[in-house]
Amino acid sequence: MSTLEIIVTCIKVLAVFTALQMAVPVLVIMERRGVSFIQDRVGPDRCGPFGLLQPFADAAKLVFKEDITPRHVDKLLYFLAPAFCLIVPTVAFAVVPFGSGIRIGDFTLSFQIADFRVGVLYLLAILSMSSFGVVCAGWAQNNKYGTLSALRGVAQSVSYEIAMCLAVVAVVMSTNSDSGVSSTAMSTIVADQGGTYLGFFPKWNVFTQPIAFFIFLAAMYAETNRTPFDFVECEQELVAGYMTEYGSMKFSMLFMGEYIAMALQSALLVTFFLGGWTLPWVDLGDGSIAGGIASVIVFLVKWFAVAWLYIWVRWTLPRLRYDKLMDLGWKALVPLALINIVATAFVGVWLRS
Amino acid sequence: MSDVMFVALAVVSTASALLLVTRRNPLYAALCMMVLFGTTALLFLKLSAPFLAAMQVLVYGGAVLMLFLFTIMLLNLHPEELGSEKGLTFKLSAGILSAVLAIFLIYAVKFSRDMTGGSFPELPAGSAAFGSAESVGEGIFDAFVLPFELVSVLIVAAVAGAIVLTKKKL
Amino acid sequence: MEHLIAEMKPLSPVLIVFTGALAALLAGVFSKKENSYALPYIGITTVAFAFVALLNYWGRGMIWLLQGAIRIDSFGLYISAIILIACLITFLASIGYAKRLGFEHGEYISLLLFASGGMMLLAMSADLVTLFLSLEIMSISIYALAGMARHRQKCNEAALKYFILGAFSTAFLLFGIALIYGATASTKIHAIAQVQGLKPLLVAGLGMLIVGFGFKVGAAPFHVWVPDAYEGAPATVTGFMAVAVKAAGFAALLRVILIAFPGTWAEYWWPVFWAVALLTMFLGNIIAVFQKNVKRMLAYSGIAHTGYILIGLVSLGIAGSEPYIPGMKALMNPIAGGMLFYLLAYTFMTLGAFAVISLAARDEDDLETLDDFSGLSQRKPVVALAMAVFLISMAGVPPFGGFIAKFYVFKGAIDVQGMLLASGVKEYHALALAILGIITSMFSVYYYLRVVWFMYFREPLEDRPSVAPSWGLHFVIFASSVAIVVLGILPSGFFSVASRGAEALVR
Repeated sequence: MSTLEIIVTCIKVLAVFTALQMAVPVLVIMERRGVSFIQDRVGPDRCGPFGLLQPFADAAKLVFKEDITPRHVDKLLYFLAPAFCLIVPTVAFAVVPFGSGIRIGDFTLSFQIADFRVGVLYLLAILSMSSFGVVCAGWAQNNKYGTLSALRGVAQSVSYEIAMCLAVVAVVMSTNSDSGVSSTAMSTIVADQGGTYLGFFPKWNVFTQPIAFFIFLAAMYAETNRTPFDFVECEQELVAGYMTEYGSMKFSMLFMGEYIAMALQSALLVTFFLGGWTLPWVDLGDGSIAGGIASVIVFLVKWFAVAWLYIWVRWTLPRLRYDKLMDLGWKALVPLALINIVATAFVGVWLRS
Repeated sequence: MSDVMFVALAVVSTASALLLVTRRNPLYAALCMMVLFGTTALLFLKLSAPFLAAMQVLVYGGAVLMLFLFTIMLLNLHPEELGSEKGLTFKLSAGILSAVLAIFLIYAVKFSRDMTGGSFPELPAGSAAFGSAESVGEGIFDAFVLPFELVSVLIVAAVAGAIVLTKKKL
Repeated sequence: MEHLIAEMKPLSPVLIVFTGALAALLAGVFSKKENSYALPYIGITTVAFAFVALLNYWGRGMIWLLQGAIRIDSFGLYISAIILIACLITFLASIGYAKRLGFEHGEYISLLLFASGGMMLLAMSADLVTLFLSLEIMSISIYALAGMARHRQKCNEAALKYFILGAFSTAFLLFGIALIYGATASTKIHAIAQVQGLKPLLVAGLGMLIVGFGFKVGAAPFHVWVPDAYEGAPATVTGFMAVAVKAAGFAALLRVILIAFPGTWAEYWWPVFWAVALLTMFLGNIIAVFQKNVKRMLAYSGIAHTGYILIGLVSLGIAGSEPYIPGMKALMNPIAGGMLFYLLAYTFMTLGAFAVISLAARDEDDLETLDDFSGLSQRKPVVALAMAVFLISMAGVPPFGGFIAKFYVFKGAIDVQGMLLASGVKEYHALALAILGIITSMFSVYYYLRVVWFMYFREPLEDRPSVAPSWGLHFVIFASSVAIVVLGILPSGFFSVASRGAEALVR
């Protein structure tokens, strides 16, 4: 690795990290204005033009609140948990390709921090740790709401993680890796979705793997603990679940962690199923500056659409019953994903022969 | 550079393993276990086995550890329910036994090379294909197809066993 | 694909057993509760088919399968036959018994078949990876089986203890395999023998393997789980555990030790086994003397039997480490044959004895304490007679199979000693072990005959309602006692089969 590459990678890391931090206020205002729109009311509109500065006001309020540590908490875990919640989804962003790349002489600036050959596995591995923060937070605060919330969080994320992994397996299977590239690399999955069938139909995985898409979509909501699967923090039952005893910046870190996880899942859905940064009719991966910038914009537009879907679903659907959640995960999604894998294998062999 | 990384990882993983068995608070032990799994995964990565590294985190860190945590919280033991602290003799003998075993193994590894003049067998590490998902897949479906299928038999037997022992009404 | 299917064909005995296990599982799920009496017959049919498939490959020489993962040879087939017999006897004995204890369901049959299939593969594996996985299939199924009678606290305790200690021992085994792979870059048992150098690491791996297998066969000092697990588990399962797990464990131990560490390697392992065998025989026999519970007593006697079988391994080691002595090599096959014969005789004695125990004296609990056996000869004369045969055979009194088995094992050790002395080597390890084996057998006569004495010379206790044994149990008790008598009177045919079985390991 040359010095230049190291410097560029460091800059990319900083850029992505900052962008993620900035994505949180954007998502928050989107959510608050969005829910107002859905519920036919106005929402926050006092702070700045159209209330756009509202999240910053919220942040300022949280920062200046007194940082209270209740006496009965488990100190170490109480402090570690918000960090976990924030770190895990942030780290996972390392392999998400958010643009095609710009070629300058010999050097290619790719819009992806690291392109592992086993990028998908890395992602799934990191995602599998995502409920650890919830567990630590829930346990640390030493009250029954927290413990119950953590218990639910683990059960839910373990159950839906399986379905999610299996859905991604089908995507990897249908990714073309004939030319020696690894089909488990994120960049390959995106590049394979570029172009069209018959000249006009997008080659997105959502069309070739519709079942995997819906399984991933359902698992995505469950993994980020959002309605209709928000058992971890449902107010009516658990006050605020694992966040009950948190205040000030530690609360805001948990809160940010949640929104970054949401941003991550949206990015993953875009990457795995909606073609990532590609546009079906235009080749954006030619290495030109315009193509590179356009690809980032394409990615962001898709990402916003999925994030809006998140909000839309949250304020439209009611919460499931807990046993229905488990039934859906184990008795519907997992078998369906397995059948999907077998079907994909059959179709793949049939197409090749 | 590479040696420094190895030593650092080795020290962290050994320390976390030691902490794991000495903590009385089960959740702290689980935390140490996570560090242990993480460093082990990084060691695998250093040995150019990325697939194994990812699986280490995915299966052990993600699934096994989460189930441990689930059980810990479900039982929710109070400190007095954890049982009395083991006596000094027990701790001492356990420590001495593990130390002897460790020294023996270090001796075995070290002198395997020095004394008998033999060298460690060459593994095809370093090549791009080694340890990748593709080569592991080829191994599973070619040379190790029987063990792979046996794993499925094992899982069916284990599931049947678990259900028969725990289901309320059969 | 076709090539793979063709290659799988010689594995048909195992595949039939696994298929039967799945069939039993599904039948158990989809059949009505009142039809569950039919489930054991699925198992019996499966075992019968598997046995026919097994006989089909007997005497066909070695067949290597799947790039050397499996070697089907006379040794593996012999042990598999023992396991299938044990499985069949267990099915027959659990007709009625399983219903009484409330575990007459498909999972019971299925797990027994899964365990048997795993054991058969264990006896045939030529690769440490396959060996480990088949060992796990066996162990996991047996852990669950040990806890089958779920409403009994003792049963749960047995399952949990067995599970935790078993998992612990598996870790040792796996670590040993890892070290051996580190030293040789191969998991193939046959390839390990060819690698020279890196001895300290291999020795460390060998030590770990010995610990792991020691747990599985119940050799001292790794025997602590045996009494609790045997006592708590339902009697039919205990019989299966005692016989089949031991046979499969010994099969894997013999194959790994004799093939991967042959010849001069024996210098490293036979002293270990010498000490283990001695300790096992003494501990097993002496503690058994103090047991009031017959199941526990049989558990300790099982430990003692492990010690006797290990004498054969020690003799093999001593013989193998002195290959230059003329005639020594010729001794090895009969010694190994003696060990295999011992396993066969032990199968019938132990399964028969546990079948008698499963004949409940009380509603749900097994016939366990010595008092339960008081005056059994008056209440059930035939059963008492059979039990007497089993116990006397275990004690090693002629004319039963147990005597011949012990005779072969001790004779092997004495032959090796004679050969050593004839060539001027003045070491008496083999002789010492044989003599100590005979002395400890003397102890065992006491506790075996005490049960017989209770059965024949005590008045029956009044408060013991008796249950009519099922036809399966009758058949098992009858067949086992006949088998033991036949093994005792006409051993030569069986011994030659056992020696053929041993040919795959030592010629």
